[in-house]
Amino acid sequence: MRRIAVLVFTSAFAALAWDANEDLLSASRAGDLNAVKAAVEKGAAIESKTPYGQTPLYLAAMNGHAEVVRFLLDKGASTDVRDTFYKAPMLGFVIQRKHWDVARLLVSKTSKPDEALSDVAGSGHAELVQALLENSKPSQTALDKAYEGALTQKQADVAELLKKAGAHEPPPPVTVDAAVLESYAGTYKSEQIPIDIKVSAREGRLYLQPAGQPEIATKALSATRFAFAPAQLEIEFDTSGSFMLKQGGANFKFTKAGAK
Amino acid sequence: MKRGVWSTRLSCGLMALACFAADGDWPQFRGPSGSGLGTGAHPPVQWDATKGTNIAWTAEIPGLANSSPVVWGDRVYVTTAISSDPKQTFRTGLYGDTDSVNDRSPHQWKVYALDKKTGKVAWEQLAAQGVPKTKRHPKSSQASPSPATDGKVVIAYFGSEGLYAYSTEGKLIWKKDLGLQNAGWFFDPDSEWGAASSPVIYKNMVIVQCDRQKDSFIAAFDLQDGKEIWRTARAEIPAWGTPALVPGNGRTELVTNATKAIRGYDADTGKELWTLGPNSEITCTTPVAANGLIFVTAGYPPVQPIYAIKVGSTGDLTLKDGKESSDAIAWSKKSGGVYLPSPLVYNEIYYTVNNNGVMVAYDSKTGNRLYQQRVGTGVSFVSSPVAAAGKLYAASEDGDVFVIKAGPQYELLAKNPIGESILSTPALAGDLLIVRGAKHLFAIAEAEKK
Repeated sequence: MRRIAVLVFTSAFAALAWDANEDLLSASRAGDLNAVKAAVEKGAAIESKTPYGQTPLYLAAMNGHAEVVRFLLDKGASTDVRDTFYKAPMLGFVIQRKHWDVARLLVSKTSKPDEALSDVAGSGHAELVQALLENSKPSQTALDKAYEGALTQKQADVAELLKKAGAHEPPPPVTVDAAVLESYAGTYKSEQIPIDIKVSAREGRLYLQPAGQPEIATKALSATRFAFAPAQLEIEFDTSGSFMLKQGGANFKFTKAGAK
Repeated sequence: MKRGVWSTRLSCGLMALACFAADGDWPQFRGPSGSGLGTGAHPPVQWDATKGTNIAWTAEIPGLANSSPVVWGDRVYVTTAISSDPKQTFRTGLYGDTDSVNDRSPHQWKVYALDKKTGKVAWEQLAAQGVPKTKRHPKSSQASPSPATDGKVVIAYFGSEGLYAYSTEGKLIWKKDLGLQNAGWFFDPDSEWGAASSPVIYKNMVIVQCDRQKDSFIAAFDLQDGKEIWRTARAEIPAWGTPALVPGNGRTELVTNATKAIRGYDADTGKELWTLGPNSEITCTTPVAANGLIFVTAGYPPVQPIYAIKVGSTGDLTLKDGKESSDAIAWSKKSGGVYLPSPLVYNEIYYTVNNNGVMVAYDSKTGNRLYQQRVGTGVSFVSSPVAAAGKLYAASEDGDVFVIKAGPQYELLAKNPIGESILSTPALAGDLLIVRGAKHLFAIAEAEKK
């Protein structure tokens, strides 16, 4: 009997906590600071999650609610959360939606400066890059990649900040035989993501064009490896008519149409 | 069999049975049974709206709408939403932004009946007015669901603004508030994109699929008085496809495409018959049936499936790991599904046109790919393809209608401009192809057939 009573009590408590978590998620998304505070006082978990892995901070941040973001950061909410569907960091959505005040709050608290630098440098927003560099120390590799990306995108202010922070000049591209480049030309498909990539070669360079997107000019790192610094994207060809696309920590295999 | 319009009207009146669309009618989104096929239609191959070549008439329709025209007898019916902000427009092109357009200016939601021969307005009715209850996607409108008609009642559905039934003379018969239809991004419900699923008419009912952020449902209402006949709750998040009615095995299946499951219901009762997954997290296309199979597709991560489901199936049809077919699934693919334009089955070939203009043809019985071809370059598509007289018509956002020869090999017959962006699916009505551009309806026909 006592065991049943404990179970009932435990279940009731869990239901209340779940409600508080839902309230916190909902209020954070809506930017309702008073409701956020009330939910936290009721015992809602700061790191509670939606079915897609978004935390209260994630929701408040992507919707540009700076006051709620500040409150949740003060409560110790983690900035380094990726959702489970897009596998995207909250800073990515914040920058895409141009919530610059929220971005400044997030970069000041990040514990993954390499990832954050990739996002903020790509935005071309020099003030954010400066805020990040003042609050954390990205690795040399991250600095170098961001610097090369800024140079390619002609983001002079960002490039200057990264140079001052110690970024190295990027190495010159490797010269690849025209016949080798031409052998890569074709349309590639992936079973992992629904997008075709057209690869073409001209004037000693390899170009990629994902369907419906602008063409990008890659830089040869070797006869089989090519990179596009602004998107921190790299592809590596194998001998079977395929390449592996690496971006954001994920790998996608693409196979040339007609290749076995 | 070619039925006369008059004989169809007569049988409707005398027998009080369900009306059947005659050749030349296009009673709902994508025409008879939502197939996209114009039986008996002979639209032209070439025209140029910018020069008036093979244009029977044009009619300016105010406002902004993705809804498609529907046709019955000598009437063309269209719906629209007219914002009082004159700067409102569609944002065309290929992009992945999720933000919505929050036009808070007062709107008018209207229904128009036009003369099919001349394009002149026979009547117009103001269904609703006020500030929209939800936002819209930059490609979408506040009048995205297409109307539907059985030749006696004209149904107009405006999502959160309600469901309306008019007589063919334009008299309001009844209206219903179906609640807030806040269809939007699953990842951020504040990114509202607007309802788009169109009503379908079955026997004496109009059926509406209302998949939204909470409390999704599908329901049937009496065509005559709007009384609810059945309602079935759906454990679903927002979806935008129109349900398909598929007769067979002594019942009519009502097939819905949505995130959590593709489902078949008994159209008479709303009882769930079967479910199938997995599916994309965002689903926009309408199922289509042909030759004993129901084709359902979607084109968003994490899977972009194509399923060919056997009519008459029951239960959980989900394939076991590694299987691509079963007793209930003739064939399937985990990738290759399309996102916005709905598929089409014509003469045993299953066609898809994706947003980026890549067209793929499959053997509808086996799923074997016959060809893959880009339709134009740098173009984007939202409108669904339609087909008639051995040709497919695919309208691009850029304002060109591509005419492709039906068959196992790709052959582009013509590219015809209308001079306005196109985000609605065209209608086929006899010798007319009716294309809705951003501002006008264009009735396209061979000059000698005008």
